[in-house]
Amino acid sequence: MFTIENLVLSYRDDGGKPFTVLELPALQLGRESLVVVTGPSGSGKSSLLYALCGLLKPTAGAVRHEGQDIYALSEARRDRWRRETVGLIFQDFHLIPELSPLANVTLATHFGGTADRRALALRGRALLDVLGVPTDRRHASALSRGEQQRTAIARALLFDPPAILADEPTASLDAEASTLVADRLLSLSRDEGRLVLAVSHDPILISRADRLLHLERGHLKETEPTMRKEIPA
Amino acid sequence: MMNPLPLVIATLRRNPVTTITFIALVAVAVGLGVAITSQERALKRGSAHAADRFDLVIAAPGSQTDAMLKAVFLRTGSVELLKPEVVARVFAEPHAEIVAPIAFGDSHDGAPIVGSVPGFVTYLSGGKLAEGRPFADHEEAVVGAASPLKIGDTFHPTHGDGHAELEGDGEEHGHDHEHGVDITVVGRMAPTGSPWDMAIVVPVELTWELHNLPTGHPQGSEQVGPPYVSDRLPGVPALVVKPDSVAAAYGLRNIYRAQDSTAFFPAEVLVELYALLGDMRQLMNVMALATQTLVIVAILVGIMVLLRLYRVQFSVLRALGAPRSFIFLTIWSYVALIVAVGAVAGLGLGMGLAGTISAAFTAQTGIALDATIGASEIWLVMAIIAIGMAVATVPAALLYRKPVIDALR
Ligand SMILES: Nc1ncnc2c1ncn2[C@@H]1O[C@H](COP(=O)(O)OP(=O)(O)OP(=O)(O)O)[C@@H](O)[C@H]1O
Ligand SMILES: [Mg+2]
Repeated sequence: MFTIENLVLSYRDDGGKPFTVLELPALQLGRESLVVVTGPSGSGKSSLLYALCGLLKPTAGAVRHEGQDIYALSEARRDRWRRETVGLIFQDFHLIPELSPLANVTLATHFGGTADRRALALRGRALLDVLGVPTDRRHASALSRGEQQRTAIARALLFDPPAILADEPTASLDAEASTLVADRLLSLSRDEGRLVLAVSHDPILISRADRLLHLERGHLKETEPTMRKEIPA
Repeated sequence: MMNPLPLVIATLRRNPVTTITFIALVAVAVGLGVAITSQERALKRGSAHAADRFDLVIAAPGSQTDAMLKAVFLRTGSVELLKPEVVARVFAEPHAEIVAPIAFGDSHDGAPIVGSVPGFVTYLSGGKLAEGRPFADHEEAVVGAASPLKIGDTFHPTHGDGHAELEGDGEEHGHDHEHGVDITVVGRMAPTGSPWDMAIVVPVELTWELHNLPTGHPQGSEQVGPPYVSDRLPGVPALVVKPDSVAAAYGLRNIYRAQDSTAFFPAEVLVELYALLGDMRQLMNVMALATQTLVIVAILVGIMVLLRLYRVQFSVLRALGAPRSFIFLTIWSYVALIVAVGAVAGLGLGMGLAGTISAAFTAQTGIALDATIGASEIWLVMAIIAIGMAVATVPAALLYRKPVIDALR
């Protein structure tokens, strides 16, 4: 569903000299796969993730979704595209602590252009139930860290996007909560047919990966997932 | 439909103390402005109302303001006395329906005792006393609406009120002492909204008698009120005249604007005072506006700092698909709401402040002040809200442009 063509992302250093952070000649990402991106700090993992979701315009090359160059869209249409196509999950959850779990999940229905808010509220509640998040809390800040990350997953899934992008989704969680989240991400790709791309160093998540991408100074190297037996076609 | 409200409320709740401080600052700044304008209007209205029944005042040449303060507002400072010949001439005017001498010199329990005529007491009370009857004898008195004395009470007048008023009474000044008369309260006036509400009015003949002056009547006569015998009249601080027509009012005013007297309409002198007051109000308004502007700027700076802390939140919203316009609207609503709530609270605060000042002023002077919220206060509040809404676009425009991912990485 995503195709990257000759993508280059570079910044200028303090002296004004350009330096390249990401250089990817070609990359295809399909549905129904859990892709884990690893690599040392500063190797460009987050940059790749934000380039894929339309928040970081590459210096050169294209990011295509179903053939459409997403950076050729107007900003307003790209915002809308992102809302419907990608669900984002962050290391630090980034919930609004003063809002209830459900209000956090349905927050994007207030962004405008949402037709059936009632149906989405019902869906949000159902997602929280499935993910095992208590919905009776008045404030998201009252949830445990694992529950907060699962609330963030529910939020990412509200519009039923075909792709989930996660930056270190288990890095702030203990092993037990990480396992829950990792299983959920796996199920999202396996059972629900989504593309799940996660930047992570967590063995719990890596062990479930269909594909392993390794970034080294902006260059990509694909390795065979070792622990998984069956690889989807 | 974009609805930033849940997010705005969540953001306001994040730092409740700061939010309340911001709102309180706006409220205090607006409250001061509201209090100043509504108080000023109340003062104008109250003083005009108090002077309502004082159509024309004739006094010795000199400051009309002084004479007005004396006759209408009972501020007893020393003024020149109107010569007896002039007093006699005014009493003889055919177009003067009521001629009321105003004579001071005594007090009781802090309340001024004013000597005048029965007809004036009735006129001041609106044509009819609230209780009892006008005085008909030297030892009778009518009290103002707010006086603690009741009908049937008796008291001894005390000479002096801190100021020497009448000359030729043969007493040493500076020592207050009781006169040896018993005065009985026989009537009470309706409220006039003026210091007369706290006063005790006695026959002017008594005041003159107590100070060893001729009483306007033949020796030994106990008569109260006009007609007076011309060559038995003493000088008086002021005469209040009710002319029988508008033409007579202007006629009398012209006649007594002369060498040995001055004549004026208190309403006119008040208008001159208001003009003076207006300049001061202008100054206070400028100061209030400057305060309000400073407060809004200070709050704006505070909000900018605060919103910097919320940058991650706004970046997350963008990452979740919120358009820039949503971020703009959220920040704008946040700032505008603080200013609007503060401005409305300020209206209440200003109202309370003006009410308190008015009440204290009324207790002090007897001039009834009724501070109300009028169009100018509503305008002020709306102007502040409008300024707040305009100013709110600044942080909104600055922050909604920030790159999204810098705050997320
Ligand atoms: N705005 C910027 N200006 C200059 N350099 C930047 C900017 N943003 C990111 N970089 C650089 O780009 C490189 C890649 O950053 P990125 O955040 O993608 O790394 P990462 O692999 O996610 O690292 P980590 O594991 O620490 O999160 C880093 O060297 C970083 O310093
Ligand atoms: Mg990173």
